Amino acid sequence: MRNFFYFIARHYTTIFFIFLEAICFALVISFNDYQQAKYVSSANIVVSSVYEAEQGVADYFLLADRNKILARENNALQNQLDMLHQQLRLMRNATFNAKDTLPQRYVYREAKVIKSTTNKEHNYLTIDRGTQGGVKENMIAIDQHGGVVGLVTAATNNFATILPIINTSFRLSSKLKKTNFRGQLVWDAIFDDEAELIDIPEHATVNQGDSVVTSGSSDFFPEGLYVGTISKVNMDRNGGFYDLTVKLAVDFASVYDVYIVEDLLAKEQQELESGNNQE
Amino acid sequence: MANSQNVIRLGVLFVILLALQVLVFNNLNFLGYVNPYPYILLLLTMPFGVSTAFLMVVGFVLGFSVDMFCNTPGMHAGACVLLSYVRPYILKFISLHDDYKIGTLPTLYTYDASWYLKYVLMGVGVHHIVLFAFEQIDTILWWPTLLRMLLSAAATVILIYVSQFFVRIGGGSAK
Repeated sequence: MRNFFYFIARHYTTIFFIFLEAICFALVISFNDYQQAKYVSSANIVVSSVYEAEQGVADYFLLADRNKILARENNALQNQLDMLHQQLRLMRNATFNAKDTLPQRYVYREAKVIKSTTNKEHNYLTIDRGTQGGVKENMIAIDQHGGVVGLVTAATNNFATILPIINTSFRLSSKLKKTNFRGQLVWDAIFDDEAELIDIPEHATVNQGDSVVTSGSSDFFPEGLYVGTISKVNMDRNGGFYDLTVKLAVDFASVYDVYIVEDLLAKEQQELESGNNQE
Repeated sequence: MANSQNVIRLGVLFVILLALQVLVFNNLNFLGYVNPYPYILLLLTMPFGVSTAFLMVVGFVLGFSVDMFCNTPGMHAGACVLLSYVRPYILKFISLHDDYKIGTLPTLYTYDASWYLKYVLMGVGVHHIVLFAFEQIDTILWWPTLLRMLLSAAATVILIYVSQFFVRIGGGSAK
C-alpha cells in the first residue's frame, strides 16, 4: 500500500495527464453521437451570444447585398403570386369541392445563420431560432431556393445547431430526379460545394446536369427536395456502381437565410407505418 | 511560480487570444485549407518552471473554451493538455548550456530567434498533429487532411512568431 502511495506521489503529473485526456476522449466520443452534444456546442447560450454579436457587426456591412437578394426574391414571389391568382380564377369557374383540399402539411420558419464553418470535416451551422421559436431537433433546413441545407441536431431556447450536408457524419438518401434511382449522398470533405452520390447501379442512365433530389426514404426529409446537379460522372471500377460528383444547390460559404421546415403530419405518418410493421 | 504581474498579463492574454481565435482566425478559410490556431501562444508563453499540472489545467480550460466555439468538444482540450504535458520535455530538448530562469516567460526575446523558432515549431507540431488526429482520424493519412494540417501549422507558426513583434509580454532577457 505504501508503495502504491509512493507511486502516485511520484507520478501524479502523469496520472493527472491521463485523467484529463480521458475526459477529453469521453467528450470526443460523445460528440460522435452528435445528438448528445447539446451543451458543448455553439447552441450554448454564451457562445451563441458572442456569435450573434459578431454577426450583428457583419450584418451592418452586408446590408446592401442582402437588400438586393431580398428584392430579387420579392420579385420572384410576386410573379408566383400572379400566376396562382390566374390559376385560382380558372379553378373558380370549374366545379370545386372544398373537402377535396389537403390539410396544410409543412410549416416554414425563417432563421438567420449566425455562425457557419466550411473548412472542417465536421462543419456546423448555428441559427438564431430555438425551441421558443418553434425549432425542434430533427426538423430540416432548406435555403430560400428550396435546396437542402441540413438537419437540426440540437436546439436550446433561442438557438439551434444544424448538421449540414457538408459534414462527414451526414448521409442523405437521395435519388436521380429523372430516373428515380436511389443512392446515398455523402461528403468527402474536399470542396464545400461538392458531394458524392454513391450506390447508383451502373445500369442506370446518368448524364451530367441531371437533378438530384431527396428520395423520401429517410425519416426526416420528405421526397423531392432539391439537393444539386450531377457535375461529374465516373464509374467505380470494382463495384458496378457509379461514382457521381454532385454540385450542391446550397452555397454553404455564403448561406445566410434558412427556412426550418416542420412536418405537421410526420407523427401521423410514422404511426401508420409502425402500425403496418406490427402486422 | 509566476509573479502577480505575470498572472494578470497571462489572464489578459487568455481573453485576447480566445477572442481573436473565435472571432478572427476561425473565420479564415484561405483556399479552404488554412485554419491557424495561434491561441496556443498562451501555453507556450507560460513562465519557465510552472508546474505541469497547472499548465495542463490551463490548457484544458483554454482548449475547452475554444471547443465550445468550434463545436468540437474535447478535441482542442485534448491537444492542449498534451501540449502542456510535453512542454517541459520540449524545453529540456532544446535547452541551451544554462538552466532556464524560473518565473521568466519564454518569448522571442528570452534567448535568440532560432531557439524561439525551434520551440514554437515543436509546440505547434505536437498540438496540430494531435488536434487533427482527433478531428479527422479516419482520413489523417490522406493528402487533403495532411495538407490542411501542414498549412494550418505553418500559418500558426508564422502568426505566433509575428505576434512577438507586436507585444513584448514579460519583456526582458533571461540571460
